[in-house]
Formats: sequence, structure tokens, C-alpha cells
Amino acid sequence: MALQVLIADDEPHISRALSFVLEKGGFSVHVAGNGEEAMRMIRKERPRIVFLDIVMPKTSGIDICREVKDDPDLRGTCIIILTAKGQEVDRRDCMSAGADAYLTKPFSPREVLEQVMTIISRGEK
Amino acid sequence: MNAKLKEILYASSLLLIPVASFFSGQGESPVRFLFFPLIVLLAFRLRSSTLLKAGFTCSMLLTLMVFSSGPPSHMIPKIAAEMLSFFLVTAATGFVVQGIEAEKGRSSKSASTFQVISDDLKKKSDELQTALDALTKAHQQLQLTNRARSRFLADVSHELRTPLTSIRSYSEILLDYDDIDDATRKEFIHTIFDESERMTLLVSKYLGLLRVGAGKSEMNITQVNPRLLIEISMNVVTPLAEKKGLPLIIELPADFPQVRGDQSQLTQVLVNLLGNAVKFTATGNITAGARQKDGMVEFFVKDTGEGIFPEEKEVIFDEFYRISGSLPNRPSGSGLGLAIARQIVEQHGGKIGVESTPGKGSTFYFTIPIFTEETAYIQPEPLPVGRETAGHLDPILVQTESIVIRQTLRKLLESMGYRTVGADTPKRGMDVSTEIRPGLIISDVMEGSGDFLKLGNWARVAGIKIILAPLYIDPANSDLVLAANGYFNKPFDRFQIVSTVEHFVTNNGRFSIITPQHEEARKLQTLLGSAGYGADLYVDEAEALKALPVTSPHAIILGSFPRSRSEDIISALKREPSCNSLPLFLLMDEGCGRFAEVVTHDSLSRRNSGKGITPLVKKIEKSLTWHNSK
Repeated sequence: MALQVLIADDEPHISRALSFVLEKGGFSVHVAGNGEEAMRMIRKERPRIVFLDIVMPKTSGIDICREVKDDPDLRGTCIIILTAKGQEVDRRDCMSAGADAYLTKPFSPREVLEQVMTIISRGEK
Repeated sequence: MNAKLKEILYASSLLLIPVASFFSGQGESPVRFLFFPLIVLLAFRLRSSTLLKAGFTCSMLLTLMVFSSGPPSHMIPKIAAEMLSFFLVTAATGFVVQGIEAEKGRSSKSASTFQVISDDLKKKSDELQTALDALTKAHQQLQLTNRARSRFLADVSHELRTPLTSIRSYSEILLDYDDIDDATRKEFIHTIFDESERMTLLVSKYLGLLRVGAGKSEMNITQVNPRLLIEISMNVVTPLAEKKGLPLIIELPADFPQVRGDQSQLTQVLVNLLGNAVKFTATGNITAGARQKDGMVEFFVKDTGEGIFPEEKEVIFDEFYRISGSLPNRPSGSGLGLAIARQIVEQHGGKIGVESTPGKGSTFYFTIPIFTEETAYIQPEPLPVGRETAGHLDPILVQTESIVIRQTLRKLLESMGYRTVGADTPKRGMDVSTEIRPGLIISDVMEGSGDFLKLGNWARVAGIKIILAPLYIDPANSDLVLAANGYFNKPFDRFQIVSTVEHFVTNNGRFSIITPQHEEARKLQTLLGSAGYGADLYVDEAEALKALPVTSPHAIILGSFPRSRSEDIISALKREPSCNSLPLFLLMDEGCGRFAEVVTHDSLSRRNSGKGITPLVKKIEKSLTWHNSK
């Protein structure tokens, strides 16, 4: 069965590009437009990898990341934070919230795919 | 007067003491024991010198009295002894009192000195405290601005990176994947196109913001209809207001004057204010309008929003300030809207402000000058200071075909304290100038008419400076520029006119600096500039020789060329008739003094130029005085 991936970003163009690449890479992709929706889908679909935009309506990516990482039921969920803010502060925030990776916009879809593969192979070891 | 009388009284009461002593001396009366306290009491009452004099006089008088009346012989030694002791006691008391008084004076003096010093110290420390407070405040302000600036930059970067990510992602996908169906391919290309559009808009928005923020926007001054202005601005925010269900109301008297300003900039001010009003109002309505106030038009934008706290009233106009800007769920914005509004309003000669009750709503208002024929070309800025002395200068001739422009310019110059004369044609200008000899001619001649060259050449021969005021100037038409000493463009703004005219009428003189070194040139220019001199820069003698006949400088300063080059330049300058008599200064390293003395007017040590204005400029001034007196 294809690995489940969730993309949570309020920018549909970005979600669309990411999901295109990930689908081509053989993943089953879900898309959420805001934080609340993302949280709901994480609980329902149990995706292996979650892409989270920091700046989103309702709940921010960092908050979701924290919630996921604090929930023992959701152990094993990898979180990759996407953000347009390239500041050191944000990077630290992401890491302290327990994110597994951090991508700064503008990112290359190719790199994203590579990142996902690394995470998966790390998890399989 | 009263004090003197009192003193005499005390002194005469002193007389009573020896008298009493004399009569009581017959027996062993207890009264005599009262003498000493009395003496001490009186000594304190009297000034010590008076006491001394009085005591001495009394003793003498009494002694004389005793001897002249011929008292019984057995009494004599006793009386004499008493007199002597009285005198001694009086004198001694006097000295003691004098000493006490001197000490008192000294201590009160030192006390007052101490008071002065401590007052002074307190003042100084207050001043320091004030300075410290001001610095702390400035520092905090800077920190705030800085923080706001970085937040703004983070926001800009966030906003720009989002479309950039799309563009990059989709183009990479299109490059990487060959098996994309046509519809998807088309969709992706569309997205790239849309996102690059979005990015272009963002970039131009931010560039516009920054340009206005930097005060570099050019104003296009016309007469503007306030109603139109309000309506246009309201149209911009109508979609937003409708979305929030906020009615927009216009409040404007029927017969209302036009204002003088840049329509697009004034629209921006109103749009910014209306945009904020919509942003920060949840329920109620938004009213925009205008009224006349103190000879200006006052626009206002009133909302029923959350309001502004008194302490926020000033800072909200600061760049990058956003009320609780960093909190989530707050309306987004650049934090530049009000700063830009303030800048535009102030550039128009108006004022911007806000009145607000937190929780009830705010009213932003700003003033813009009313349009009249007189204000058509002039920015109503406050009069520059220090213009009272301009009256004694030679009058300024304003030669323009248009009577409106001529009167406007003359009125402006006269408001600056200059005397002016007017002329319609260049011919008439020349006639008038022959009679009154103006210090400066401002002329507005059509390019290519030939009139200006005539007037310009005539003025140069007569030694009068001339400013060109054309509608446009073609830089290629160097004849035109060369014939004039300066120019300004319409629409005239006050600042341009003030600074240009001042430059020509009141400046101390101009120097021509020929130097190959950029840094040296700027340093000299700054030094001379801060001492009130103008400075024209040239990189070599060819350029300088072209311009020297026109600029007619006070003196020439030759910068750091190699020695053989310096010699070439100097001989070239000496060959040119228009400048061979000009003082020539040579900027050089120390130790080449002889060379400088032989060929130039004076030499300036390069070391001097680093030490600030005084050594270098003073030396030039001294040297020039000497040159002129020759």
C-alpha cells in the first residue's frame, strides 16, 4: 500500500505542486487548507509524513507539530515544516517543537522528494 | 535711613554708660556691673566700626569732661582707670564682634558659594538626566523601529517567497517530468504565469512603499476636487467594506473649494486611512469628508472601530508601527500606511492627526492647502529662518513672459525678504538691469528662442548671476545650461527656489577643485561647503578650462596630481586668460613648499585637509585676503 502523506498549506498552488511530485513518487497524498483541517486529517488518515506550513489560518504549523509529537498515538508521524520565513528563530522553533525536517521556501520539489526518501529510509533502518 | 537713625540712637545710648559710670563711681553701686552686658549687647546691635568710634569718642569726651571740671584730686586715678578700662573693654568687644561678623560673613559666603556649586551640580545632573532620558527614549524608539523593520522585512520576504516557490516548483516539475498530460501542463504554465504576475504586483507595491517612504516621490501638483478625491478613494475600499457590512458615508458641504496637491498621492492618503478604518471596524459605519479650517481644507475619516489609546497616537504614524502587529489574528499590513500618509500630507504643507476614544472609534484628519492662483506654483512651506538680512542685498530681476508666474515668483522671493523687479521680455530685462543692477536674474525663456543666450551673455559680461527657469531643460543643449548659472524646473517648489536663490545671492564664493582623486574631491567640497563656499569639481584641466569662464570661481584648488602633471596643469591654467589671474592653491605633501611658492599662489598641506574646516579653510581665507589686498 502506498505511503500516506498529508500536505497542509493555505497556498493551493504549493499544495498542488507538492502533491503532484509526491504522487509521481508513489505516495498517496491528502491535502489540508488550514491547521484545524490538518489536525483532523492526521488523526483520521494517520499519514506517515506531514508537510506543515508555519503560517496558516486558525492553527499554526508549529502548534500542530507540537500536538502531534506530544500525542503517543501519533508516534511515528514524521513532520516536515515548510516556511517562507528563513530566519534562525523559526528554525529553532521548528526543532524545539520536534519537527523532523525543515524546508525554506522557495524549495525545489526534487529536494522535497529526496528529503522524504531519506526520512523513510531512516525510519526503516 | 531708618537703620542709620537706629544706629545713631544706639551710639548715643552708649554715651550713657560712662555717664552712669561716673556718677555711680561715687559709691559701690551695683549698676556698674550692668555695664559689660550692656556694652556687649550694644556691640552686637551696632556695626563694629561704629562701636569702636563711639567707644573711643565717649572715653575721650568723658576724660576731657572729668579733667576740665576739676574733680577732687583723689578721684582722678580712679576715674582715669575706669575710663581706660571702659575704652579697652569697648574696643576689645568691638574687635571680637568684628571677628565674629567676619567669620559669619565668611561662612555665609562659603555657604552661598556651596549653594551655588550645588545648584550648579544639580542643574548639570538634571541636564544629564534629561539627556540620558532623551537618549534612552531615542534608543528605545530605534529599537522599536528596528524590530518593526525586521518584522516588515520578514513579512515582505514571506509574501515574496510564496509566489516564488510556486514559480520555481512548477517550472522544475515541467522540466523534470516528461509524462505530464497537456491539460496539467497548461494548468502549471498558467500557475507560473499567475504567480509571476502576483510577484510583479508585490514588488511594485513594495517598491512604491519604499519610494514614498524614502521621500523620493515626485509631486504632480494640480487643483484637485475634494469630492472626487473622496469618491475615488471610497471606490477602492468599497469591496472590503461591503464584505464586512460597513456602510461608507460622505460628508461634504455642497459648495466646496478645490485643494492644491498631487491627486494620486492624496488618494493614497485617503485610501490608507479608509483602509485602516475598514480593517479596524467590526460594526457601525465609516464616514469620510472635508471641511474648511484655518484657510485649509481638513479631510477626515471617521470610524466606529476599536479606537486608539492616547499613548499610541504619536507612534502609529511611525514607520513600520503596527498596533499589536506581531500578534496573530490581527489585521495584516505593512505598518507603512500611516507613515506614508503623514509624509505625503507634510510634503503638501499640511498636518495629520487623530482623535480617538478607545472602544468607540477614531477620527483621522489631515489638512491640505486650498487651491488659489497664488498658490499654483508654490509649496506653502514655513519661511526659512535667517532671512531678515536679505533686504540689503541687490534686487532680483524676475523675467518671465507669464504674468502669473512672474507675480508668483516675486511674491515668494519677497516673502523671503528679497527685493525684486519684474520684466516681461529679455530685452526689457536687460534695460531694467542696466539701471538697477540686480544681484541675480531669474529668467524664463523659451528654449531655442535665442533670447536667453543673448540675455545670458549680456549678464555674464555685466557680472550678474542668472538662473534659468524653463519648463523643461534638454541636457544636450549645453549652450543653454552653460549660459546660466543654474536652473529650476516647473512646477516651482519653494524649497528648490529658496536653496537655489540663496546659493547665488548669499554664498561666499565658489572654488574650482581639480583633482583626480574622488575622495580628496569630496573632502574638499565638504570642507568648503560647511564654510559656506561652493565647489565645482573637475578631474582634469581640460574639463576645468571648459567650465571656468562660466563659473568664474574665487580661486582654483589643484589636488594631488603627480608633480609633472601638476606643472602641466598649472601652465595650462596660466595660459587661459579668464583664469590666469585667479589665486591657485596647490594641495600637496609637506616638503614641496618651494615648488608651490614659485608657481602657485599658495600651497596647502594635505595633512591640513584632514583636520577639519578650521586649518584648511582659514588658511585659504587668510591667503585670499592677502591676495585681494595686493
